[in-house]
Amino acid sequence: MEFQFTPEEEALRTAVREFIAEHVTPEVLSEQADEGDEVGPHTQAMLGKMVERGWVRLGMPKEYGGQGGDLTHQFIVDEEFNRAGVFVGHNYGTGYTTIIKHGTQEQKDYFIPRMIRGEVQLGLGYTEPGGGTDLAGLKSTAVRDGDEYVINGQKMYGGNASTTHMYILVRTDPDVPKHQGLSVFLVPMDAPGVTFRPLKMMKDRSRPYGYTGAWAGESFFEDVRVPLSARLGEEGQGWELATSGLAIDRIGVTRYLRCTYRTDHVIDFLKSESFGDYAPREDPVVRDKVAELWTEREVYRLMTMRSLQMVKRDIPIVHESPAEKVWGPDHNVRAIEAIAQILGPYTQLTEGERAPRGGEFGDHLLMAWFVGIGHGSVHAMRDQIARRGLGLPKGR
Amino acid sequence: MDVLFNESEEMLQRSVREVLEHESPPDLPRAIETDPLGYSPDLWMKMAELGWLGLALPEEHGGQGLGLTYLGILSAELGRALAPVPFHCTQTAALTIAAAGTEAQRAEVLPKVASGEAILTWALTEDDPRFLTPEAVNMAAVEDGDDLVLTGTKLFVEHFEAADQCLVVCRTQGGSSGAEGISVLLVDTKSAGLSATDLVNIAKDKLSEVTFQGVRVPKANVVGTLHQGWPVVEAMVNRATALLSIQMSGGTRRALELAVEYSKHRDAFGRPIGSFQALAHTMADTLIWVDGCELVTYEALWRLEQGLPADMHVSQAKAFTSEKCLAAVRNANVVHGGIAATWELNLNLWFRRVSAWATRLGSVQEHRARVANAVLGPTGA
Repeated sequence: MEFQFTPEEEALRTAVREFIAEHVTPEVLSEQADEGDEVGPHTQAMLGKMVERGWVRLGMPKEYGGQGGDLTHQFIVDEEFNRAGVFVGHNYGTGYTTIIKHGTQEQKDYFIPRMIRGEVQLGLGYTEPGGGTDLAGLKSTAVRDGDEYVINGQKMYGGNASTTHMYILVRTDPDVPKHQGLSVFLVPMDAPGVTFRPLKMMKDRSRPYGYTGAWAGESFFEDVRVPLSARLGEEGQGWELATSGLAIDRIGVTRYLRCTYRTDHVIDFLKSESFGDYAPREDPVVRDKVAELWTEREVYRLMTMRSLQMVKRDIPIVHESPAEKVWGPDHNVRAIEAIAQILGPYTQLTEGERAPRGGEFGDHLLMAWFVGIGHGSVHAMRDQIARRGLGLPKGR
Repeated sequence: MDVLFNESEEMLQRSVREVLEHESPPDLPRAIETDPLGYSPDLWMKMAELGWLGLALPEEHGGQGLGLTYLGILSAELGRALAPVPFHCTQTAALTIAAAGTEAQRAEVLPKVASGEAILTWALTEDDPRFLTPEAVNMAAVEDGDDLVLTGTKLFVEHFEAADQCLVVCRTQGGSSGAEGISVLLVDTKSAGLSATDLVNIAKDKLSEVTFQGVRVPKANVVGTLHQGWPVVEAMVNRATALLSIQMSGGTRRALELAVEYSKHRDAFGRPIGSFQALAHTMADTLIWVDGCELVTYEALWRLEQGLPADMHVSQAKAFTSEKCLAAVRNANVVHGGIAATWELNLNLWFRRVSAWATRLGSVQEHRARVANAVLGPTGA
């Protein structure tokens, strides 16, 4: 056991901080605060410098288009940029990794450079109006017709106004067990028969340190004809692609930070701020609650490090990453609900001088629970822990 | 940052577990509960033979010189097996002597600990149960020639009757308050003026109320600096707390395993009860807690071993384990249902001990206050 970063890792952190001080300019930050996922010109230039240093997709395996570098190094780079308010993980999730791994040469040549430049933005089309957790029970279909597929169905939440392609999981074979008859397609938003309806979220604007933008979307597919080359991987390989992508996405810094920012930020706030003559940090009840949240957050940090280390050491993940995916989001909810009581009516404010930290806590009072839903709900994760980690019989 | 066990740590865990499955089956702690000696001398000597009693003691005094993380792994396994031995109290005192004792004290005491010949304990708490607060120490030791004379009462002393020597925290400077004027004395438990009565408790392990009536202790038995012993106490308290936390985590993991096994074989409504989500999710949460208890406590032990600042880490470990282990063993009971309340089912051996351990060595609130000092700064700043 060793509970500290190596001198080499600490040196990397220092180098990243120096880079951020120099290159994360107000222009970059203002691009980050804009709606949508476009990569602005200043961010693009900064990303170029990061690529020179080997800091982009650092820990991702080479077969997935990464540098095959150390996952801890990637964690450190991503953590520092995220803390600086810069999200550098654009376009490197499920779509990117599975196109590299399973795409044809033609698909790779088309998508990868455009995704790196930000010209292609994928929206993830898994969930449908009829369900999300029972993913393999989805209803959308693609039917082969000569050199084309004809796609019909509806996808929920994935994509936003700047999405250029939907990465959708649909049924291509209704006559086999449900996990076997699925395939992935990359469908351009401008294909005839595709319509997109923006879905305004109740947190109605984007923020740094955030969860989601202000907008998601619903996409409708009505007799959409796509060429065979729109299919990613083999027919029937969809479930494998979907689950491998989710597994790659599940480890790492992003959720860790999303679930710990609130605790870190309320501590920062309480250390320096008072309301008139009342300093909550002096209140023993507040101190007790903050210490409890801090401890939960520390446990989560260690769980994150554990999963990371298991991947590094090539130890199969059994229940550890689902465990992280329960503990982190549940902590996040407990944190924001406790903060709501510590800061009282100030918590609800989203704008103006009276709003603590620019209204961050109000926004997240709305959306903290959401981390427990996306990417597999905490309850689905508990099912996995029970079955894989404890060997309990399948429930219902 | 490799939070996983390395090969030699895994090997220690495996070998200790194998030995204890054989040497300390549940019948042993059950039998020792009614044994006046309060521990198993056979198991104790076996542990000495295997080098476990000197695992973290200096090599020049008969130990193996390994760090506190290794001692933690051993403690977790002893907790898992509910091994009825005075290990925690002996190690708490021995590590303090190793760290702060004179060369003469180390040479006299530590080889006997490693060989199993000496059992040690320690006495800190009085009627004020606060554990991290020097104000809770009021027992006086008055100088008289070459001796210090102790008068007063200590509570919750582990295995006092079995122990040969006891580290006693007291006030050697009359009229002192706070951290000033505190000393740590090594007291022979057979000294004149000492008497002990059992503090009968739910764990049915040996805890005593110890009364000192003019007990004479040579000044040569001061461990650390006279009147300036509080830093020695703080270090002792940190080690004792982290070791108890990991022992508690080890016991709790076993209780969870028992619940999981039971739920696979107990049927209700024609299905194993472990297939019902209400119970499956309860056990999944419990697994997450136990994992968390181990991670956060091993970090504390590792920091102590490395000599890094660790007050906050020890306190977050104890606050977390006290709360989560208590809830976890209760969950294990609830999965079993009514049978868990019976005397004959072994599960209660774990439930009673973990529940008792969770109340010892500082309340959750007291430990969280120390965490708050670290993250928010002290009050009135």
